[in-house]
Amino acid sequence: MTRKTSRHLGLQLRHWHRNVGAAASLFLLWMAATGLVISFEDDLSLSRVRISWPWLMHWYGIEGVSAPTSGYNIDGHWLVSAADKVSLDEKVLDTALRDVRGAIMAGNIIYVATSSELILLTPSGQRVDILSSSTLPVFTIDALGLAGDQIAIRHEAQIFTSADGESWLENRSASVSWSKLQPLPPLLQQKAIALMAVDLPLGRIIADMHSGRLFGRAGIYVVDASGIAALILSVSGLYMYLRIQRRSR
Amino acid sequence: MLRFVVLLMVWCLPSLSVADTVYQKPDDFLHETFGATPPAPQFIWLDTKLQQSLTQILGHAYSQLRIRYWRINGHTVWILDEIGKEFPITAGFVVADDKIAVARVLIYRETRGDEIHIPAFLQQFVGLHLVDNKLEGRVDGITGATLSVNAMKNMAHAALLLNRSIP
Repeated sequence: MTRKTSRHLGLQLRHWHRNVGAAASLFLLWMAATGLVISFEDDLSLSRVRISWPWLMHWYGIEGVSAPTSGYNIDGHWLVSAADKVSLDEKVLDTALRDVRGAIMAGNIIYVATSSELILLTPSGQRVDILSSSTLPVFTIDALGLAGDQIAIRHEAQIFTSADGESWLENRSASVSWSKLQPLPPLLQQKAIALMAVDLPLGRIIADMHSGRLFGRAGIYVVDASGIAALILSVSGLYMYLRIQRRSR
Repeated sequence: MLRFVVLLMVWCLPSLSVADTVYQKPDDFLHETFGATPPAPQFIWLDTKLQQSLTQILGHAYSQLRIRYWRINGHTVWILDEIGKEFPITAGFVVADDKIAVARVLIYRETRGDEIHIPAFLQQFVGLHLVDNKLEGRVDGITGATLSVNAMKNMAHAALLLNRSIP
């Protein structure tokens, strides 16, 4: 390469390096910052932080749950479920529950049946235990009720009763008051909407910011372009560095 | 865009996690330990003092007020749940002579880090015991599964502590 050609190439590279660097600087800073946070995601427990900002959920295309109109009235305590969230007396339970089949109170314990489990709660919503198919006499619970002071569960034509949820007896002739959904008072309906807001883990949102997915396909292309920019900067920067090194010898 | 939304909806359904892997049913773990007829479960209620001890181990109170266990001939079996990154890991532990005799991942719900179910990793738990209520023994971590490894260690620690707390 002649000296003139080399100088021309050097000028071109410096031109590209400067312009690409300026254009990409904000995006590269964005990726560096989000990348750093992702590196410490576990230490910061970002996945345990849930974000439910309505505008962000709307941006993601995740629609909120519609207002629940019914719930289980358990001796004055209201159990309301929407999607996989359940609230007891306006407090969202830590335990995610789907497909709630009934809720009753027996012996100061609230029993909540899903299709496959029986969850025991204190009246304040603290979980006491979860009884699954290994403890229950059925694999699927169709209904939950009270037969006097006994807990009753039904699967198809079979009815089982128990005093404490641990030992069960089949009892086809039991007279059972089965748990039923009841219309929610309007005030509780409104409160339930706020309680049951959908959310996403913060770690997921930051990962989407880093990858550009948060902004759809265009965001991904911008991140890809930033990657190419970083490549150009690396090559041009390295070339200029080596050129200067050679000159200084 | 529709595919994007559908993928996100799947992500938002923790109870229907596509990552649920049942390595061994809890019932089968009991039968493996005790034979055809496991003993009836007993319960330990977590009073304030025990919850405080568990909080020190887990970093939070245990998610239930009572824990069931099975005991025969000095062996106790504990089936515990602890969140790794986002979802609970269900693990079984056999405690004998105040030491972990068996550790098993029963149900894994996270999307990654399930290397902890590998027998070679779990073998490290055998012999773990408590010294001054601290877990004694070395368990090497797994790259990319730090939270799951920590959850298993914490559950082993909790199982040993609970074993000491039963009459």
